[in-house]
Amino acid sequence: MSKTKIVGQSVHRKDAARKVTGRILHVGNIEMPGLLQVAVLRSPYPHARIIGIQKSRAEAMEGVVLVLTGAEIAAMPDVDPYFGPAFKDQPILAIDRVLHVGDPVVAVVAVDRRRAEDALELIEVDYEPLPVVLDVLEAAKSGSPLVHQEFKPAGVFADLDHMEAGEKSNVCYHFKLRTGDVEAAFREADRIFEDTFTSPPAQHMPMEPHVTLVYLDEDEKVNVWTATQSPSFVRTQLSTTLGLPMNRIRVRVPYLGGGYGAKLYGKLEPLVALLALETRRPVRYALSREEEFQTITKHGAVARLKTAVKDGVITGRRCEVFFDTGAYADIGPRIVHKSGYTSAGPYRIPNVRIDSFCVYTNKPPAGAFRGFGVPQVIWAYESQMDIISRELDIDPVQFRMHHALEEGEPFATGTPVHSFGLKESLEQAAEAIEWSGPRPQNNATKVRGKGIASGVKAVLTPSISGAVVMMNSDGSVNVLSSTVEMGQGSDTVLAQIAAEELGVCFDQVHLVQPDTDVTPYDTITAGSRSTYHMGNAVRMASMKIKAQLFGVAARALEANLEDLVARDGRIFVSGSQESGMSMRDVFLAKFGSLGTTIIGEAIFEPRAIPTDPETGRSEKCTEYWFPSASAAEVEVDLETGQVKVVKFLSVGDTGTAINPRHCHQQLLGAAITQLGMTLFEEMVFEEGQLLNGSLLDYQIPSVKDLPEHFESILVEVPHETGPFGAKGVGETGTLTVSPAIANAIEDATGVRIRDLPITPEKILRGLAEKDPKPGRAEVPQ
Amino acid sequence: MKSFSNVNPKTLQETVFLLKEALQGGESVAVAGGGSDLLGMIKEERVAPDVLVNLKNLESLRGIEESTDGVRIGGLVTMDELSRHPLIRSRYTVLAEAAGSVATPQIRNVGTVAGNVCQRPWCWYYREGFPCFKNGGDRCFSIVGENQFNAILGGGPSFIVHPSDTAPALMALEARFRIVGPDQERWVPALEFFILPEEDVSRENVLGQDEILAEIQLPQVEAGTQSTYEKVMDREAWTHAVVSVAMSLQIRGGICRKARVVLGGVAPIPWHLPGVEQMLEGNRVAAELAGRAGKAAVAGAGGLSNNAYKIPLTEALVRRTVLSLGA
Ligand SMILES: Cc1cc2nc3c(=O)[nH]c(=O)nc-3n(C[C@H](O)[C@H](O)[C@H](O)COP(=O)(O)OP(=O)(O)OC[C@H]3O[C@@H](n4cnc5c(N)ncnc54)[C@H](O)[C@@H]3O)c2cc1C
Repeated sequence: MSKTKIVGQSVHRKDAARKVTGRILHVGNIEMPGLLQVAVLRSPYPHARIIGIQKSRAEAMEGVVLVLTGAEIAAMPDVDPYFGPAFKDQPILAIDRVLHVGDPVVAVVAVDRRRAEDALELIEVDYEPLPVVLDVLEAAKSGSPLVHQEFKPAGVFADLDHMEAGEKSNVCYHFKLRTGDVEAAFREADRIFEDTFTSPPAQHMPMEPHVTLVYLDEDEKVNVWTATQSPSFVRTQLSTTLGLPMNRIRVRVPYLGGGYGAKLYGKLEPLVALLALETRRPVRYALSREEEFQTITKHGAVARLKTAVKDGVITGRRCEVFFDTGAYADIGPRIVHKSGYTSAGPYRIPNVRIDSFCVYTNKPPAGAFRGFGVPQVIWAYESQMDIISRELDIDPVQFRMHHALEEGEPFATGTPVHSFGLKESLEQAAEAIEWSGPRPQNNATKVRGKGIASGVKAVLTPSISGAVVMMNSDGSVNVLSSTVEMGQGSDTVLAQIAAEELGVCFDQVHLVQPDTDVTPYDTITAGSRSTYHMGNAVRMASMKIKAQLFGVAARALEANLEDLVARDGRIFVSGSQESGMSMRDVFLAKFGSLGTTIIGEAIFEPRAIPTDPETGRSEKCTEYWFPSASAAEVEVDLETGQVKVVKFLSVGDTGTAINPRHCHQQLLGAAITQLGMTLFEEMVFEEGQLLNGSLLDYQIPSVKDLPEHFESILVEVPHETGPFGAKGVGETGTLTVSPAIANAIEDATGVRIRDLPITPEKILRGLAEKDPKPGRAEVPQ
Repeated sequence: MKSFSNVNPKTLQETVFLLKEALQGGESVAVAGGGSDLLGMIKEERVAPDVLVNLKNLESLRGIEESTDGVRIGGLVTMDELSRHPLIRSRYTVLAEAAGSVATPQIRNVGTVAGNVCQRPWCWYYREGFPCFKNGGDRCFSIVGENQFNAILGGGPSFIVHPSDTAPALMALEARFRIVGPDQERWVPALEFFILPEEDVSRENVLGQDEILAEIQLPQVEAGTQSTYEKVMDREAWTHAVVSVAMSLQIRGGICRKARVVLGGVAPIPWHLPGVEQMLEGNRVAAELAGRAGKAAVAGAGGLSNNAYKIPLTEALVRRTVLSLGA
């Protein structure tokens, strides 16, 4: 039996009832007297010089309060017109050039949205089109048109410190990893496999698009209500942008309608803060769905893999990955770094060479997306693992098991792995799909196949979480944390951790929503890091409270500190029949009065050793790993090319599950996201202009597209420094979906798809190429 | 978005009079049924009417009624009503299935049958505002562009596909449309309602700007007739057909007496296949015949750079549908 009481229980979500009854606060619901609305004129060109802007007619329109251009922002004293987490490359509004279709050019503030939008039509902008580069491989070549003339590192992240302005090129970051001697491995190989796999740019599609509201309070302080996953970062960003001390800026975040990585770092906040300062009135900017597509995307990627095999064993692998970061780097360099070092896979490969590139193009900016670039590289290496094992006639599961890293073995970076349930995840996935069972039945036109894939992601490291826990004299608890509740269940899990440590009821713990005036610094709510990092901070802060409570109780009960236990709101001597003291008694004994509080605070700040810029090696590149495996059974209609995922299993090593139901929900939800990326989702561009930028044309999966049989399995390999052994699970379910499905499709049809999404069109084309037999309708060309 | 005035006439006469008057005064007009498509187009500025004539108060355009000649369907009948109506479901199955396959429950609740039949194309280039033929421009961008959903039959100079699910069904049922204008009213067979871009690239049907589609008449179905609508989509809901087929077969003693076959999603208009119908009529419905029908359905089809997959897909769909109705 587990020793914990609340940790490990699938308690109900704290916010569930309020959410389903529509009583939860979102930024879009906030009403304020005199609130103004924003509309933004955006670039119709993928790259152009701004020759001139005529805005006087818009300014004269009734109801219009302010019309602002980038050149005006650039002229403001104390304002930094550029922002961005990796490079300061993104202007608040375009200054002299526009770099992608949809780049913000002029902002209009008016009494209502309608008027703001109407005023946009009265603004004239003269552009001179400039050479455009859209393809990521073209952009990476020397001599292609330059998106940015100079690089200005933002200096925000310690692990990007070695980023420097290179020679003139669109490659804004290059990650290198060198282990062993890859060339020798190729020379000595029996077989060499070379494949290229692509993933298209895609969009996060949070239910709630970006929205920010800013007002100045009676103290002229800049108050920001915003839908962000990183309130602490936004405050830092605004402090730099506006040239104001950090305590003159207050960032609050109510509940998010989904984030998925779209709402990280500064997005609308610099612009809206400036507009509020200029108008001295409350201002809100809420993006339309169409603008959402132009604001942030998932990196398209091209991954080239070359793998050496000798005696049925992989001896060397070379990975070249090109990430399309669009017109602004956003967090692209960090994605390229973090996913870069995992691109050879969680396997024992003695010789590895990785080059991963972050490349500017004239497309909308790409940033973090659930999985942080790792699904794109797993798509490549897990597709190739199957190609190789098929060619060598080795069972794909056995092939992976043979190469899978075990506890303590070094990853490609040299970091020994710990809490690495990769083999367990693979085994569970294989068993659940009846891998060694009989082949599924086919009928004349519909064929079935099974596929499996495994992979791993490392948690974002380094990062920092601070928490303050306050216990009141009735035993109720407030937890002050800047972790954003965006549907993942952090309020619930953090409350479980605090309740467990303090020995109070779950219902007695309240999470204070992020408010930079109140809740301490936290790096971000992303990268599957909050349960572990914030969980540890909350637990450590709770321990400090407990130490104070126990000190008082030990004296009052005349007991030894180490014999005391806190449970069910009481402190008592372990094993004794006495009922001990209630929290209230302890407070009275300590303070002699009620209404008092005991405060514990903690900063959790795990250390990492930066990877070497030349070799990518580090003895500790990450705090923990979360292995994933997926198994799929598909049915492919040979005549229509349609794929039905009949059965799908999402398996993840979560460490100790604090709330098992949440872990299952994360694994399934993430798998649905990636199912969309696998079968449907792709942003399609024509000359830099998005063609399918609406919810009708950009297809995300509907409930009807979900697998008939859809399950998740938790593999719980405890982590030695996780709170109660927990790790993270937010991204795990996205990692291995696409290759598992592609591998199943090959198993069913013999067709290997290397380019996402896997559309009926690609399958029919593949069938025709594979088997142009008479009688089967031919696909021309 | 441009300002416009909205009028809610109460009678058909008043409606067409308002249209005529506005047009004569040099104003542009648009007619709204459920508005589920039109309002989006206005917001996106694909259309910018001065006067919006909303049909919602025209009580005479509602209802589904049976008579000795068949069934009358008011132009304002919603997709949801059509898909649930017992008579339509049992005797005009193809129409109920087509209406039930449209978009989402929310859209089916407001979208009307007249609006569905008259909806404008959903080609990405048109909807994104490229200066294509449909937007008054001088070319079709899909020819060398992203044409995975564009026409394989009947294309040129524009390669849009007609998006309506109910239109192929109405054609397969040999429906007739009552068209009302300010000076006259006329009945047009559904099979003659749509026009190809080579005839007039600016519109998809014979309606004049001052005319509306008021009601639809379905003939009696003959004994032994069965019909169905098969729709292939990229995902399982909320999307137009990649390819669809509306088929009605009258089979007696294993022999097909009468066939009506119309494709959706493949051509700028719902694509009627008289050749396939002739091939089926008078013959025993069996695998071999179905196979030939499938082949004949795509005779003359031609792919652009990315849509040729629709050819085998259409072939298979027609063959399977013949077999399923014949079974
Ligand atoms: C997200 C989405 C998904 C969709 N998916 C599908 C789908 O799968 N299948 C499908 O068939 N359709 C689909 N549609 C289109 C949808 O069916 C139409 O929006 C709806 O059926 C139109 O009905 P309405 O009454 O709302 O038309 P409106 O929006 O009112 O009008 C549509 C057009 O028809 C004209 N019109 C309307 N009534 C008349 C009349 N009586 N006489 C003359 N002209 C008229 C209007 O002027 C306008 O041009 C989809 C639309 C959306 C937005």
